[in-house]
Amino acid sequence: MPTVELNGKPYEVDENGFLAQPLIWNDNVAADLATTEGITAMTDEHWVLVRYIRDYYLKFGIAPMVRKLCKETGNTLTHVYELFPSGPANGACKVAGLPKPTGCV
Amino acid sequence: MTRRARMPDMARRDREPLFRVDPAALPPLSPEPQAPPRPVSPARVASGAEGYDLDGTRVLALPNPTSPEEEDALVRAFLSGLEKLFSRENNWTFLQPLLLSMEHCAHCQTCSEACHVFESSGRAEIYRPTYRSEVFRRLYFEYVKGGGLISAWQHGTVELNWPLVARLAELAYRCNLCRRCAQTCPIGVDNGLIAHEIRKLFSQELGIAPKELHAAGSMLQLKSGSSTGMIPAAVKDNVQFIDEEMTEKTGLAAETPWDVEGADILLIHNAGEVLAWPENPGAFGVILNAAGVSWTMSSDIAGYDSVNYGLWYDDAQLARVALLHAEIARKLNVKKIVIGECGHAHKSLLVVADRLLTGDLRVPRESALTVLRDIVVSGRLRLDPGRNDFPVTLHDPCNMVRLMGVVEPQREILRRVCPQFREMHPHGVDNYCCGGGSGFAIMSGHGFEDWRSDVAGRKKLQQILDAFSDCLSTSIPKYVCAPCSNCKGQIRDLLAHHGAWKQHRILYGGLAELIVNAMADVRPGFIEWEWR
Amino acid sequence: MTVLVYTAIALGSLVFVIASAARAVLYARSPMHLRWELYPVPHEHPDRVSHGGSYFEQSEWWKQPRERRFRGELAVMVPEVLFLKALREHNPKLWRRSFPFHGGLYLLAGAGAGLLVLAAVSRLAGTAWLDGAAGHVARWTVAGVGAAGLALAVSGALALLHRRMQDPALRAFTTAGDIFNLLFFVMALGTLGAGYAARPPGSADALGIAIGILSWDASVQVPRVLAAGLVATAALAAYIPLTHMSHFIGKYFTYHAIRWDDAPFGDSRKMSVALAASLAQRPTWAAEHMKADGHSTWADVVTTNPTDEAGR
Repeated sequence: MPTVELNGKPYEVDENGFLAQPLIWNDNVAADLATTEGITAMTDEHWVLVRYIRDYYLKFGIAPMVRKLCKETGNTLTHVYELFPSGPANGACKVAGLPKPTGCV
Repeated sequence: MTRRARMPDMARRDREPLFRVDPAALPPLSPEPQAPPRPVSPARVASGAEGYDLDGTRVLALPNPTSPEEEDALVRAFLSGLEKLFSRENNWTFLQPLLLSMEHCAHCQTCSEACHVFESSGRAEIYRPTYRSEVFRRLYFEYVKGGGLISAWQHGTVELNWPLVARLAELAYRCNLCRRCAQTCPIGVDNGLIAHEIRKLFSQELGIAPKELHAAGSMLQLKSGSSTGMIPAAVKDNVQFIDEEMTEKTGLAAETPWDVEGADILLIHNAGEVLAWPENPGAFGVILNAAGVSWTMSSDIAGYDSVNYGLWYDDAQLARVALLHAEIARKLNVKKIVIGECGHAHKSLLVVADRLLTGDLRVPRESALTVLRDIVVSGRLRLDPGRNDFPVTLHDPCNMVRLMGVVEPQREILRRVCPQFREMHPHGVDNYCCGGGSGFAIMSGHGFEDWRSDVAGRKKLQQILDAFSDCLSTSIPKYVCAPCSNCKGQIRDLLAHHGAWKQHRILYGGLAELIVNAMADVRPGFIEWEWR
Repeated sequence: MTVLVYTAIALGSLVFVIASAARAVLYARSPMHLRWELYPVPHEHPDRVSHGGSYFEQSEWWKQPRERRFRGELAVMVPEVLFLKALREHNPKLWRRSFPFHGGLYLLAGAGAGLLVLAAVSRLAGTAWLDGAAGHVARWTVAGVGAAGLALAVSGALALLHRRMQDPALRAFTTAGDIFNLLFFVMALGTLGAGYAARPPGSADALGIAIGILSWDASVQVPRVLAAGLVATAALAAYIPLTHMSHFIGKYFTYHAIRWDDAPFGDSRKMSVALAASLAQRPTWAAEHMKADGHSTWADVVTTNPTDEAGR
């Protein structure tokens, strides 16, 4: 696993930049990971999405359906892409400290 | 950079790649897309070069031997796998086709012209279908058939060392297994099969396979029930959400029946649909309920995920998952299994595993495309094609067309529900792969996602642009119908990579959605023109 | 000298037949493989052949009568065998060289067979008829076919050789053996042609030699160059099935046993027996997840879930 330095702190990530150890995640980690997605400042809108994803992951062990994410956070998919340019799976899930989603998704 | 790599280069000990994709030097696209800027993942920068580089990207986590002894051990393991590949007890499944492809190549290069990867790379030698095959063939003649001076003179030789073995493993994952080249071989030699067999050698003997296919793929499926990691409780929860969505959206009560014994149809979707494209399984539910079909889904382990990644790299995993699928259908006592819009699931369960299922495991298996075709043609649904009055083109998943001959049902549907349906060229059994075939669509890291959009998918992108050349303006929304999850994932990434949604309003999606979008009894606007 | 030529021809033919048969038997006896067909499959129903469709396009296909139309296969096989149709379609540049070469070989084989027939008839019915009209027509036809075959095969081989040396894409994959094989054709058939054309007056002609072989008549005079050509050609015939040039056999199997083999398992007793035999084999694959210890059979392996904690 490669190590990256974000805001001066070292992180172990997989080859796609997803956190290698999802359990070390906290708000500061999220803000650091966000920089890898071209997000300079995490807004409340970012946090709503990230927290929903994080909670769902802790409950079910996987990322939530994108549609569910949009519906239950009151976002359009387009807006999610505006907030996380590489999309809900590769962007928002990464910031939420999830491992990369698997299977044909 | 050596543009014209030769076979001995595979054994090179320097760390330079044999070829490096230079996006500016690739064959031009028309119209040339303005690719959106992409953040470069710092992980990529940090990962650096380790191991022997083939082409600047990689999909395998290969061992990194540090001493000549460790290298020797790996090469010996490779040779032992090579021998097994040609033995009846270890490889009866594909021995005959493999032998034929080993023995009869005339080195005429007819196949090269059929390969989208070779062409789209700007004709990089390492991607020539025969390059990989010929390296492997030389090893076969030397180490399996006994070699010797006459053999070396007749068949040529190549130096065998760890760098070659490592590069060969990677190179087996630069072929989509679409077998378009095999179609053109005057003798019937199959380079796709050779790539498939090399993958098997590495998986079955050395335990080396892309993690997306093995550890987080077939192994996860055998353990949790799905390569997505969805356990039965999660899939039921998600599908319930989809049912609610569908009811709200269509105005028809949508309910998915679970584990109904004796149902006519056991419908198995690719579980990725549920998570990433829920409108597809949702549309299936709407259609089947509206047509009054007796159907069920299964919440048994693997019963709700039709994927079978073993098809691409490992015979044991292929058989294990196929047996699970058949066993679930047997237990539920359904009349038939119907596979949803997933190409490789079609091929693995209907075609390749056909000769593995015996006795009461021989539950009849059918494509969803024929089931949908029958419903659409029967007139059981009130259809208003006017609702689909936008340009639609069809992508043919290789597994369904060239590799299994399901060509017309999807077209019969589209001709009835899409007034502006137009073909790509070539299409049907002569189609081009989307570039995501054989699992590439779900593989990423080390720049592989760029490789499959810049190189492997390039031909498909051009075909899509050509199909819509008369209507590229953003004022006209356009739809690429891809009745296969893997192809959909690849086409999504391909269109995004080249900015085709923003520049041309080209969206992609499945087939069932187009049917529901045309159903007169459903609220208009089932298809949402939003990027996903 | 003459007996040497006869022996070479007999041996060459014998090796050709035996080695070809051995190869065919090797392929035919390979275990039943998993399905790996490639469409279009021409024995399908004509409505489906036109677009490359299969019986999977029918709803509940297992309830429909399944037919294999041999006529459909013939419609592909005949133009393929005679005119190398696929090559013409996919690689016309190569076809312009390959077709004369293969066509020449077909003509030569035809002339050889014609000679044998004429010789056999003459042995049985005497040689008098050869001087009649029918005899003249038969002899000239065989001679014409043979000469055309020689000319086409030699020039085709030269053209193939030229292309192989010129085209960098081909050169990169060319082995010494590839060059030798083509040179062997040029040399053997060239000598045969030259020897025949330049044979001194009064020496035996092709038919005379053919009759001579059949009666093992050592008194027949075979001029030296012609003898060398005959021996070389016999050696060539023996050599072909030992190399990848035996693709005339391989191709039968790649088409019929793989590309077009769409037979469903169904109730085939033969397939059940073959599968049972294969499932009883004991694999030795070493990867951990295979759970193949050399004692377990394939049936055990595929019914083992490698993610089970207990394992096997």
